Amino acid sequence: MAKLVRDTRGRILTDSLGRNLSSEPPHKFNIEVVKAVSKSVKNPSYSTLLHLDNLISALKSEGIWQKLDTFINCAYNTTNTTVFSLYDFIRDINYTSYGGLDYVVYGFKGNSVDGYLDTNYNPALQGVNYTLNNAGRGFIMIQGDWPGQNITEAVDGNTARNRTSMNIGGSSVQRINSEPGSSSTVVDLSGDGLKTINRYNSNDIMLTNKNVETSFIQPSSTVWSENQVVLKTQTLYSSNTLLCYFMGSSLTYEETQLFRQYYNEYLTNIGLEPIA
Amino acid sequence: MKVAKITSEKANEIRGQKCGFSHFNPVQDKDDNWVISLETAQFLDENEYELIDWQPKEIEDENND
Repeated sequence: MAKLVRDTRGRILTDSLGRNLSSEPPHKFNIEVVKAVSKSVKNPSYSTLLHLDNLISALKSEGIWQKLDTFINCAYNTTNTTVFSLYDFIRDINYTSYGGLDYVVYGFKGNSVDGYLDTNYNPALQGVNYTLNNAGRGFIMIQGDWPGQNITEAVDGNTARNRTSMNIGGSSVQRINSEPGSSSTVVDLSGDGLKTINRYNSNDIMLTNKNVETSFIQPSSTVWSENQVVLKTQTLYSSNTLLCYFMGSSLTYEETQLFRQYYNEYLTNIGLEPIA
Repeated sequence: MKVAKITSEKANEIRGQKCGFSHFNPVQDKDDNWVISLETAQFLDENEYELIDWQPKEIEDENND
């Protein structure tokens, strides 16, 4: 068994997460994880934090993390980390939960009645990487079981101007920085896994549903000034389960697949099914 | 699925107030009753709501702006 490390006065030294140091080399956590732990009373287990930290390191090494303006992770294979799951690792603030969301081992499950998350992120005011003609958002979801209630989106609070729809059978209303009323190719984002929408310039949009890529042209309009919300539309609420959510600049198809790969490794490492 | 029917006055009173890790979010069903989910109704007194079946509003036209 490794010996504890003490200073010259005999006090046990701790690492950046407050754990006692042993003679083994300590793991150096990303500052984002250290800040998250310092803000929450109920944290994931140390081993889960290690896997989360490795996920963040992997995303950083691929340059994906640097493209994000906001990122929460909700899947910790425990039901005791509700507040920790609202923590935005990029912005160092929390998302706000409304209504009766259920917190399960995979994350926040919508109740089809009144539950949703407010990201407290307004890209017009707080966007750094997210700009009019280079913008993206994505999320990993488990499809809910309420027929007709599976519209799960990242939308602004009152309109359908920024919409990512998971309608079974597809939707022609997939929008990012687009004019109200603009249509898209019918894109089916139903099912479990990672969904992303990416705007590369004033015209070109690409969506991914797991490894399926769909591109179309939709002119940009403006960066709408409203908070993005998740698990609701204008009036409907989702029954889906949110594992993670992010916004920032656009991701390439290859980056979306790397995101899936690393997130699946994370899920497997914490004992969950790799559904990304 | 059951939900908790509340008065419009109660809906205005509790909207946005904290309940556990979340916040009250009263919504209207297809008959325009104000309701909240049972997960959040547990933070009210039992005499402040009535259990009714959940009947969501009609599916919105997703092309609405």
